[in-house]
Amino acid sequence: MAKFTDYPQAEDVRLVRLAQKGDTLAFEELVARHRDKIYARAYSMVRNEDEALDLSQEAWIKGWQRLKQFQGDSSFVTWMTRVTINVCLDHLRKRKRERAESIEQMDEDSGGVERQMPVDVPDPIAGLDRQELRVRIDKALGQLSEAHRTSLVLHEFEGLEYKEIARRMECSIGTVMSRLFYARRRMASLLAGLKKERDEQS
Amino acid sequence: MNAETQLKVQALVDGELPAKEAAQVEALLASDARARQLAAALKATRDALRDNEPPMTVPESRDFYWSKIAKEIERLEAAEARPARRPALAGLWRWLAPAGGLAAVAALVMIKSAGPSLEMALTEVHMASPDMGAMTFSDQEAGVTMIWLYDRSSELFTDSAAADTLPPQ
Repeated sequence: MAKFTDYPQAEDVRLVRLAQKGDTLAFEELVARHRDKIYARAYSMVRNEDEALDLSQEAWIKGWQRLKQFQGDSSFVTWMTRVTINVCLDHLRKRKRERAESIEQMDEDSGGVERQMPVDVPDPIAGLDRQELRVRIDKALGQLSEAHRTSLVLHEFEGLEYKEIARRMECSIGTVMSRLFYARRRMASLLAGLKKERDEQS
Repeated sequence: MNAETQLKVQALVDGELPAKEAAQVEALLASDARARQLAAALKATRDALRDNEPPMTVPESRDFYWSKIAKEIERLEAAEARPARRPALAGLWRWLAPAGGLAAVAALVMIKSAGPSLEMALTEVHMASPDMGAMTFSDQEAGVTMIWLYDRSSELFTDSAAADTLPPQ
């Protein structure tokens, strides 16, 4: 007799096991649970809603195809965000080729302004509640170059180490360090600027 | 503070500096206020971002969003379920080879009866397909040469490599 499964009540681990056996209803439930997170990650990387939507769906399809490889070493959603990052990086590389731009060939000296920034930038989060901070981070991320933004997303949001970021971005660890440094300095400057704007308006 | 030192300060903040270098940079922080300020600024930015990825909501209904994923999964699974197709020409050859072989043998016998000059011209056989093998048999007294053409992939010729090395008749 077929065993009844209460999909909405089932834990991710059980849904993953069912999906690994080909249960698309279980996979649908996983998609429903985590689609916002996956979409948000795609958007953080490409900064375009339509592209992020397509890429997030592509990531879910890739996730289904590779589901048997998921061993449960991390949470399912962590695994899926890694799949999403790979899909987005492939997309950015393709877009770069099409635009003859480069996330690898990013001008490493473009951080000159940030390098000369005073180090005592005011604390960018002082006086902000979490929601307001996230709005400002979103705005600032949109003003970073692809290479800087990608470095920040992989390090701060995804928590990857330099070595792993270098592998995924296909560049050296030194390049990762440099990009991350300039990205942080630029982000601090942008957040501080946004904070100053707010303070002046209030 | 040069660029290299700045990156080392950052690596220390991120816990990515080897122990020996970490000790050197920590000593620098203890003695250099600007280095300390830089480390604090980098840490503040890192902490501001960590766990604060801007949230987003998929701008489509659950069903519509899933329907596009489900459709592609269905298409991929259907493609996977289809048996692997043999190359079109290989399939055609499987059917045509026996008939072709018979036709070739028949043609050779007929050609032989037409005259010796043609026999010489036909002593070397070029195979049109790498999937195709050939065996020959000649009887000088009877003035007959037979050529068997066969499909190497056929189960009837499981030892096709050996068949290829048969000594010339």
